[in-house]
Amino acid sequence: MGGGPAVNPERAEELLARRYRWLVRAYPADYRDRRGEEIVGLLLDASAPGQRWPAPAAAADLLVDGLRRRIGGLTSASVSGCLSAAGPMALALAAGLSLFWLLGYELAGEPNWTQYGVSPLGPFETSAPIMYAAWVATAAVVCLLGRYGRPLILLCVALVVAMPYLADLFQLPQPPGDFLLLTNLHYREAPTLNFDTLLIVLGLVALATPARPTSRTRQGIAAGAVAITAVAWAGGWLATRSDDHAYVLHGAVAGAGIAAAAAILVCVGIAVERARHTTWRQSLVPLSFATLLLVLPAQWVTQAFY
Amino acid sequence: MAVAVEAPLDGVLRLTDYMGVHEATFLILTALVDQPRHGYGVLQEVETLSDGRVRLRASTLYDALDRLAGDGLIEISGEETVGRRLRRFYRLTGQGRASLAAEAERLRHNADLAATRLAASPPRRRLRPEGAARLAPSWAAGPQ
Repeated sequence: MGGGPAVNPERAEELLARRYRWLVRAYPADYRDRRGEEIVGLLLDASAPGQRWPAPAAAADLLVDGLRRRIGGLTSASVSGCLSAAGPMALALAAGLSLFWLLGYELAGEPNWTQYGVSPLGPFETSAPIMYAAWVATAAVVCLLGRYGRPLILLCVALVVAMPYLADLFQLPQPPGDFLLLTNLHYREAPTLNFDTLLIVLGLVALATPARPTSRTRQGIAAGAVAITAVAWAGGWLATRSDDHAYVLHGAVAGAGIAAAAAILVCVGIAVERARHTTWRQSLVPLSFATLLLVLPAQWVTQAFY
Repeated sequence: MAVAVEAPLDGVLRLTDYMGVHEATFLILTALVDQPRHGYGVLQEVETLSDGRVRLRASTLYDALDRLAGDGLIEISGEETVGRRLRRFYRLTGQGRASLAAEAERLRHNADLAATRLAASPPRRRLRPEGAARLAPSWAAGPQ
């Protein structure tokens, strides 16, 4: 850590203290006034002789902890609780929406891409079902076996990112370019924030799913995925009933947004229930952030279609 | 060591995280039993007590110290400045000592219960004898 030309130990400590003080500015002023010098003292105590630069792990800890305190006085438990609550919900959303797109769009054939030629993927119109199937299979593995979630979710995210390139490589029909951001980028067209982006965001949140989820969490993921598929399907059906020109996807995505909202309401209900056993702050802060994590991508995809 | 301070809210408490939280807090209190210590002293003592297994980050330590002080289990006993380093010392309160003793007793009771049950219920054999022999490490067969 003490790279560069040698300086005397006192000068090195002075430099290190100044750099740690600069990092401590990540904290809100009141916390910094109360604790800042003590933290700097601890980090100087923990430093190696002659060290002039903050240890990367300590620097990251200060920055993340400072940000955490700035955005609402959260404890590390709040962040952990938030991600633990959001992870399974994100996996259920990604799998449920993927199942809908797989069955309700790709298989239903609207619009009929195969009229321009025979698809090498059988009944499916494009290569997108490969990634949809991967998400559904991942959720199924997590629900049935209760393990392998994180590596499989990572694989799904990688598959979404690589899909346009894999399609080129294996001469498969490209995922529909009108709703996949990465396909657009691949063809150097104007980027849009669409369904693949949503899957990537949901996938990153879903990585917070516990490595060994409880049976209750697994049941929740399965029920959530099925409910989201059903609501998306119902939304699509209602849209086509109410407006002959409505594109089935609009209603479907709106339906998925409604499903996300319903999931959020359920979370608030759970928070209220938990508040009986703990404080409101402990319950509601993590779930509020979990909600935000999921509402943002849900809004994102809904707006992308209107 | 990344230690969450409270159990996550994912439906059911995750035992590993819950024990990790408990262990860090337990070790911090234990580190303060014999004498007041400053932040870095607590970090070092916790690492020593846990044989190097628990290495607290500054943020985790101060979260825990704030919570323990808020609950009246520890208090600030003094400050000193050495060079550019401000050191604030913490000590166990009477309530903290009583809570730690009660927790140690509870853990001892639980550990005894687990050990008794484990001794009374040997693990089930899942492999057939020939399968077990095939999978056994070579040293298990004894000297050739």
